[in-house]
Amino acid sequence: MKHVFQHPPESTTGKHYWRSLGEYSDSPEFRQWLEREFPQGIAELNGDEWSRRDFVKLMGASMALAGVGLTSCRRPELHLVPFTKNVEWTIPGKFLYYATAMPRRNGAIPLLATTVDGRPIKLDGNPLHPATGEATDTFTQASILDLYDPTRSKRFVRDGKTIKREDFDAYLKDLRNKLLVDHGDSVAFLVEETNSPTRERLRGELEKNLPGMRWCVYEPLLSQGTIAATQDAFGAGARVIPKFDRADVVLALDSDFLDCGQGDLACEHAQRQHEPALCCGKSVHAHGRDGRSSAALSG
Amino acid sequence: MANFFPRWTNWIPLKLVVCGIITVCGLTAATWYYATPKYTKIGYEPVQPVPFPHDIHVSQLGMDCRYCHSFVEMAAQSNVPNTQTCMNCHTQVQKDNPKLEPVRTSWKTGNPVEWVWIYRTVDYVYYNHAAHVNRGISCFSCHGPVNHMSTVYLAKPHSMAWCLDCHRHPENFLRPEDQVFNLDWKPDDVKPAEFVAKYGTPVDASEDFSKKKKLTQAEIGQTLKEHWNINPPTNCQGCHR
Repeated sequence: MKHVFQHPPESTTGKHYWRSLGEYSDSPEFRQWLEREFPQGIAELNGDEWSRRDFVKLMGASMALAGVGLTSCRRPELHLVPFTKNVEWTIPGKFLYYATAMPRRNGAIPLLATTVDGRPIKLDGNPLHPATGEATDTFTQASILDLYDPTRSKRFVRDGKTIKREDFDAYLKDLRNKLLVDHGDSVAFLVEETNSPTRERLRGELEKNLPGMRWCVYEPLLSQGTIAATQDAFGAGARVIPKFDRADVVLALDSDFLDCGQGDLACEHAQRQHEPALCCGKSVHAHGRDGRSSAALSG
Repeated sequence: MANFFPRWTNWIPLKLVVCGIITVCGLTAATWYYATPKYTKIGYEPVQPVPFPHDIHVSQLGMDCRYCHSFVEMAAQSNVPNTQTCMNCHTQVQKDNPKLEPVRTSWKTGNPVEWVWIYRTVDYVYYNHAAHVNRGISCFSCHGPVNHMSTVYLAKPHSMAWCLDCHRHPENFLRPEDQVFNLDWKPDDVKPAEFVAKYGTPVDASEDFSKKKKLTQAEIGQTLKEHWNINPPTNCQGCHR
């Protein structure tokens, strides 16, 4: 049985309800838009060359004819597609693991990368590393997607146009010559904080050639304060690596210590003996083990 | 009351039944024969992008299967050679042969050669090449005399019944592990004394195999089956897992 859903007829007396401002104003533009959006009798295709019934008849006939010819009863031709050049060390269908590290502000997170056919699919903490065990953090887990980021730069671009590698090399050479003229007085490097020895070495080489250059380290949350406090408390060259696995109570003042995305994953170490009580916040609350249930994260 | 139907109509029900039985039997037999892998697949010989002659490479030049299908002993999947493997030789041998144009194009452009898949194991079947070739099942048992094929065709049906033939009686197919990639091997090639010294004799052997002149496939297979403790799965989950 066919159901026809229709709005109840508008009553000519009593209150007049409207569903949109357009309907309320009842302007010609609105009526035109309404006709374009919901043309009268669209479901029936009346007045057209084809009615809906004709269309269904024709489609039914073509489906039946398609069946007569057994169109889809052919052996599908599939292909074996080997690599053009082999991926080193891979065995088809088996994982290949690489030990690697993800650089962080105060160090690096030791990792194991699982690859299939030369493509990394998973990052895990390196279980052989004494500092972190198998721990990783959210940033590490998410970084696997960076490797497949479609917006990663794959070409050399100048003024929005693709250029050749040689053009870029020439540009760099030009730039170098310009900088060497004034011994680097006109250049500044803006970099993130990191512990990379490679970057320190490169910086040394740059300073040799460009003694006048400026080297600026910027982080939204610079660890200078931490360094100064550590120096005051424990002397120069010290660095605090909290071992949360041994803590009964953790008191955190204005510190998001659970987000230890700085290369220190001690707090996420897998061999944690017990859950420490957490106390964070702008005002000081101290909870012992008894008060663990009431300990709340705030701030 | 007059007869509405003439006399000959009395036989119509019987005729209908007989016709029906013949039709049903005929359809069943035809489906049984024509719609099973034994008929539909055997001899499938598609046109490959390069008409790779196995007979020249293996029988004439003496190449081992594992030069190209290099992971067959290690992986579940036996790989087809990549372009690099072809070009190891064909940068020097037959380097202007027009038949090899797809390989050279692939090498230049980096796009792989698309070989047409002949031996296709469906996704709901687990098959491990390494497990078979490392335990005395030769390439020959499943792929036929590939070393004499000028172009590869499907030589065995690869139906489930065919798999089970071997899983129920592996002794009919097992051979010494060093002969797995020798597709021309015959049971007569085995020297009984050496064979017995290496693999022993089955428990219920009626005679001393080492004193026999020749060993049959059944004797060799039974010996190897007991020596390697081969017990192929015949339950559903063995392959459909």
